Amino acid sequence: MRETEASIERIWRVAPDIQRLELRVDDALRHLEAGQSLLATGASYLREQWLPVEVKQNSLIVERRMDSSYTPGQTVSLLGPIGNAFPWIAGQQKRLLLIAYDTYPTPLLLLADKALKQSASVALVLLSSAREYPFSALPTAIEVISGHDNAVWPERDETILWADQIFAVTKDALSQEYLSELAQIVKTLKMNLHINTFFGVVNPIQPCGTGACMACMVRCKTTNKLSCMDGPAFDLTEILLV
Amino acid sequence: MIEITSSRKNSITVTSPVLFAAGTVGFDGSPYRKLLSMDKFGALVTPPITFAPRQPATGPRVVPLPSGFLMHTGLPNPGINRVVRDYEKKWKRSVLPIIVHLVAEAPHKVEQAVQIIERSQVVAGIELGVHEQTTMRELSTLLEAARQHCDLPIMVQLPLYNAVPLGEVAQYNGADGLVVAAPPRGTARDTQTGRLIGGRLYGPWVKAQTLRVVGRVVQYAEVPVIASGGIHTPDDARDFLTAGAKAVQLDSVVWTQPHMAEMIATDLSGIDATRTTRTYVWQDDEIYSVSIEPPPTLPELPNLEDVTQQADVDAEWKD
Repeated sequence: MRETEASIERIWRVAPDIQRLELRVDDALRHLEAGQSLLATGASYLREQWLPVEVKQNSLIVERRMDSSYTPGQTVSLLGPIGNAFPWIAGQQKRLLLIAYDTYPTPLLLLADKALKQSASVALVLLSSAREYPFSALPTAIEVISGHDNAVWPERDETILWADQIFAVTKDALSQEYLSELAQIVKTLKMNLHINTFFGVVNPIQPCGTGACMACMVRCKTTNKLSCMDGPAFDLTEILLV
Repeated sequence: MIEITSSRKNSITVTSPVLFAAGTVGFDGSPYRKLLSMDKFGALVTPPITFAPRQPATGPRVVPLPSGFLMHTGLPNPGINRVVRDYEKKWKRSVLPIIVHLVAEAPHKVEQAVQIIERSQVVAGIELGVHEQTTMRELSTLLEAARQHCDLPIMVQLPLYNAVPLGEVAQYNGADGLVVAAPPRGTARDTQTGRLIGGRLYGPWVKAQTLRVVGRVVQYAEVPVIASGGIHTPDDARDFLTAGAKAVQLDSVVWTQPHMAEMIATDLSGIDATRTTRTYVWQDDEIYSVSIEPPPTLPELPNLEDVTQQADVDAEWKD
């Protein structure tokens, strides 16, 4: 964890409400892993959580909603990296199922990118408001499945049984209602929830990103954990679901 | 050296008048060890600790606001026994004096918790966090319970909007210092879920209100006053010292601008004044011409249990 400065090199719009920023960053941030994020100074008082969607040799690409405006050449203060790499099992024959439920799949895109580069198969399910996410902003090698307003999508049972690992990002992850719904489905289909199979991505607003404020604490079966220190991916066998 | 509690055998002395407010750097400062030079600060106040373990709040906990944010964590902590057991060795090695922030619950819990803290022999003092609806009578009972078996200095963190009357009660009941004040409470709507969330408010706007209250409390305070609320620059901090505070506590600035937090500590620890504005004299006549008022007779507030029951009735107003 360091406080560094980055300059915004390029800005482009990928959808009416989504923009991407290319950042020239400190050396330490060029090896960001899928799952890790940054806290950046912006227009609001709290630092904004910036989620990388692509890591290049000399720069990072992050995705932001259009509610903030940036200018090329602008310098921002970054705090990071926040969190740990997603515990995905790399490998050629691996099958990864990503689910975005009522929120955009941005936290999962770097994982999809890295998995595809290692010849894994990746399917992305967009549920509820996540369906508004532009397909054009996704890598072409991903199989995108557009679902419904609830946890239902075409060939749902087959895709769940097909996947080696599942990562789900949901709206209001701290209340865990959506995660519980998905966990129940997986539990029924796969006979139970097995360790290292299904992960919930919990990315709430983080005032500090260092583990001090405890605003991102996730209730677990044993010791409670912090999203900024132990997450953002939590094995659903480990956390206390509602 | 600056004495931040009343002079007696165990008073707390610090090298810098800039302290970490309760919960800003965790139980032992480790979250900020790589980001800040801890030795530039005066002391570390732990996150609020209760007698028994507490779970985090469910649902959204942070609501961004135009000039700050609202936070409702539910004060998660593993309870005083576990905290002392887990952190005792780390506190012993700490470069900063450790002040334990104890949530003032029932008197018997405070009495037992204080004994556990005192037994550890590595804690410099206790900051007793008082609920904003605590009555004067309840506060004196709480302090009596805390004082019964404790030689450690006890500071009372006052609620912002009741700080003036409660501070006087605290002082006359054995408090060794007054912390003015706890972040004020508010309610805001979480835009993602549409729910109303009650919690504590942070941001630069808190400073003006806190400064006024500090100015009033120092009028009668015979024990040191520590100011806390909305400090975001060295000048903010210096305003509180000019108003009569012995030290200041930094809260959310540590999270949002760690670099600035260190700058405040570095600036205030030196003798050189590097104030960017010219004014060193307080020009707010109201503060210094204010007469010392007798403790006002407040209407008796409902006790905490009644308040909790009322809160349960209205589920939407979650606090």
